[in-house]
Amino acid sequence: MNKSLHAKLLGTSFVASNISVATVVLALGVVGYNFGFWGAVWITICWILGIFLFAYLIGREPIHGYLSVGHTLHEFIGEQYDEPGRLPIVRLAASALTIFVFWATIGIEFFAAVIVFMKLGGGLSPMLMALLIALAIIIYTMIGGYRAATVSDWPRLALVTTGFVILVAIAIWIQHKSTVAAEPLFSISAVARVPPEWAIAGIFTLVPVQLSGMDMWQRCVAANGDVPAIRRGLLFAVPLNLLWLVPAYVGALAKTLNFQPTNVNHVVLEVLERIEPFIGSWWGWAVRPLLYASLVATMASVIDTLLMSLIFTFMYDMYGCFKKIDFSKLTKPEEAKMVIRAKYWTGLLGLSSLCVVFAGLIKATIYDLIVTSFALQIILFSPVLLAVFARNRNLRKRRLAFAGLCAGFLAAVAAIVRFLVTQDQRFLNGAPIAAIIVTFVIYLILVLSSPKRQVNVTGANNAART
Amino acid sequence: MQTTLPEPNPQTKASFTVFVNLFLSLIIKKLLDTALISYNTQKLRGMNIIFLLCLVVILIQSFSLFLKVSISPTYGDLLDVSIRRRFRVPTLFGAMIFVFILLYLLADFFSGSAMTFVIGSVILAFSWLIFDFICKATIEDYYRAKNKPNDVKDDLLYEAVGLWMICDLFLVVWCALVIASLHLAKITERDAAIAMLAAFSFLSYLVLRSVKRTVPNTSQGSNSPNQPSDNNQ
Repeated sequence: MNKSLHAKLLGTSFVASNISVATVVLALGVVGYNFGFWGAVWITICWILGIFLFAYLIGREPIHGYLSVGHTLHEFIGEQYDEPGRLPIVRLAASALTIFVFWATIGIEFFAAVIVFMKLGGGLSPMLMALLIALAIIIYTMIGGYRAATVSDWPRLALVTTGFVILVAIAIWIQHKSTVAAEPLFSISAVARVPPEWAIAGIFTLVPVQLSGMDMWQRCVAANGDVPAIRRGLLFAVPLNLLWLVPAYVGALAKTLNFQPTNVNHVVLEVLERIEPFIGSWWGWAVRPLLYASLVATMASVIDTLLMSLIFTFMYDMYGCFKKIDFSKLTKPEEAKMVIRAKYWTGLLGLSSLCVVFAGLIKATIYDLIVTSFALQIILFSPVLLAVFARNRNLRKRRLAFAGLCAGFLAAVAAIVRFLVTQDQRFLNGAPIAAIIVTFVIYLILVLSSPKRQVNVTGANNAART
Repeated sequence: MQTTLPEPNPQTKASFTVFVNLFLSLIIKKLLDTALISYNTQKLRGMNIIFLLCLVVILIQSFSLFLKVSISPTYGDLLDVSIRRRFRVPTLFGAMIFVFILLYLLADFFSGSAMTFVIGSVILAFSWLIFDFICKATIEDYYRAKNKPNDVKDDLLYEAVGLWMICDLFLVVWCALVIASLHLAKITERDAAIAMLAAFSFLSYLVLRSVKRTVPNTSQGSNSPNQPSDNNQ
C-alpha cells in the first residue's frame, strides 16, 4: 500500500470537511471583525492543538485497539460505560447527540448558503439556489455514498483554495488602495482586542472537538486504524488549516478600515459586495463564478462527509442497537434491505436539516448556531478522555454515564436559551465551558467511584478485537 | 387455527381503481380549469406557476404510487379481506375521499396567496398521515384475520407505509416552518413556493423509491404475505 498517498488522501479529507462556509467563511469573518486578526490566529491554534491531541490519543490504548477493528466512537463509549446484556443507553445517548449535532451542522451550512446567495445572488432567489444545491448534494451522497464523498474531496479542495486565493488577493488589494487605518491590524497592540473570556471559551470549545467528532473516527476506521498513516494525514492537514485565516483577515481588515457592515455576521460577503464596482466586468464573468464554485465546493465537502457520518451513526449505532442487528451476520438480502433503508434515511435526514434554515431565518444567527453545535459536540470529549486515562478501572456504570451526557446537554442548552432570551454574549461563550465542565465532573466522579479492573486490559482489548 | 379467507374478487379491486382514477382525473380537470382562467385573467404569477408544479408533482406521485401499490399481492387480498372486517376499508375510503377533496381545493386555490396554499398543504400532509395510519392499521388487521399477526413485520407494503408516514410527518413540520417564516415576513411568497416544491419533489422521490423495491420482491413471491415464513428461514 502506498502510505504517502494514503496520508495525503486522509489529510485532504480532514481539511476539506473542516473548511465550511458557515464556520470558516462567515463565522471567522465575524471573529476577525470583532476580535481582530489575532483572535482568529488564537482559535486556529486551539484547533491545531485539538488535532495534535487527537493524533496523540489515537495511538493509545484502548482507542487504538477499537479503531483497528473498525469500532465507532459511540461503540467505544458504549463498550466502556454500558453494562453487557442490558440496553446500551450510553451508546444510544452518545449516538443521538452526534446525530443531532451533525444534523444541525448540515442545516447551518445550508443556512450559510442562503446567506451567501442573498448577498451575492445576482438576482436569483437565494432559497432556490440553496435548495438546488442541497438537493444535489443529498442525492449524490445517497447514490454515491462514502466513495463519492471522499473521491471528490481533492478537486473540491482545489476549488476551495482558489476561492481563498481570490479572497486574499481582493483583501490585499483593498488594503493597498485604502488610506489610513483606524485600528491596527497585525501589530502586537491588536492582541488587546481579544477578550480573555472569549479566548478561554475558544480552548474549551476547539481543543476537544476533534476527539468528539464521529467523522474523524470514521476516517481513521477507513484507514484501518493505521496510526502512522493517520498521523501523517493529520500533519498534512495542519498547514492547510491556515487557509482559515483568510476570511478572518478580511473581517479584521474591514474593522481596521472602519467599514460598517449592515450585518456583522455577513461582513466577508459585504466586503466582497463593495469590491464589485472596482473589478468591473471581471466580477460578473470570472471572479463571482469562481467564488460561487468555491463556496459550493466548500459546502459540498462538509455536507456529504457529515451526512455519511450521520447516517452511519443512525443505522449502525442506533437502529442496529434497537433492532439488535448483528451486522457481521447479515445475509445478502438483509444487507441490501439495510442499504436501501440507509439511503431513505440519508435523504430524509438531509432534507429535514433544511429546517434549520427556517430556524436561522426566524431567530438565530450563523455564529450562535455554530457555537451551539460545538458546545453540544464536545460533551463526548470527557467520556473518551477518561476512558483512556482510567483504563485500569471498570467504568461500567451506565446510569451515571448516561446522566453525565444528559447533564452536559442540559447545561449547554440552558446557557444557549439564556443567551437567546437576554442576548448577553457571556452566556453564549459560557455554553461550551458549562457543557464540558458539567460532563467532566460527573465522569470524574464515575471514574473515582469505580473499582479497579479484575482482568488485564490486553485481554479486554483482545476480546474487543474478536 | 386459520380462518377461511374469502376468495379474491377482481371486482373489488377494479371498482377501487376506477374510483381513484376518477377522482384524480377530476382534480386534473380542476387544475387545468383554474390555470386557464387565471392565465386568461392575467392573475397567474411566477409563484402560482411553482404551486401548479407542486400539484403536478403530487398528482404524478399519486398515480405512480397507486400503480405500483396496486400490483402488490398484499393490496389485492387486503381489499377483499378487510372490506368484510369491521370498519377498516370504509374508513380508508373516507380518508382517501378527504385527501382527494383537499387536493381538489388546492387545485382551486393555487392561484391565490402563498399562505392559503401552504396552509392547505399542511392540512393535506396531516390528512395523508391519517390515511397512511389507517392503511397500516388495515394491513395489520388483514394479518390478524389470517391468524398471523407476527408476519406483518415482514410485509414490504406495511414497511413502506411506515416510511411514508415519516415523510408525512416531516411535511407537516416543514409546512409549519414555512408558514411561520411567511407570517414573520422572513421569506417571500416565491421562496415559500420554492420551498414547497422542493419538499414535495424530494419526498415524492423518496416515497416512490420505497415502493420500487416493494413490488419486484412481492411479485416474485419471495416476500408474499401468504408465505411470510420464507423470510425467516
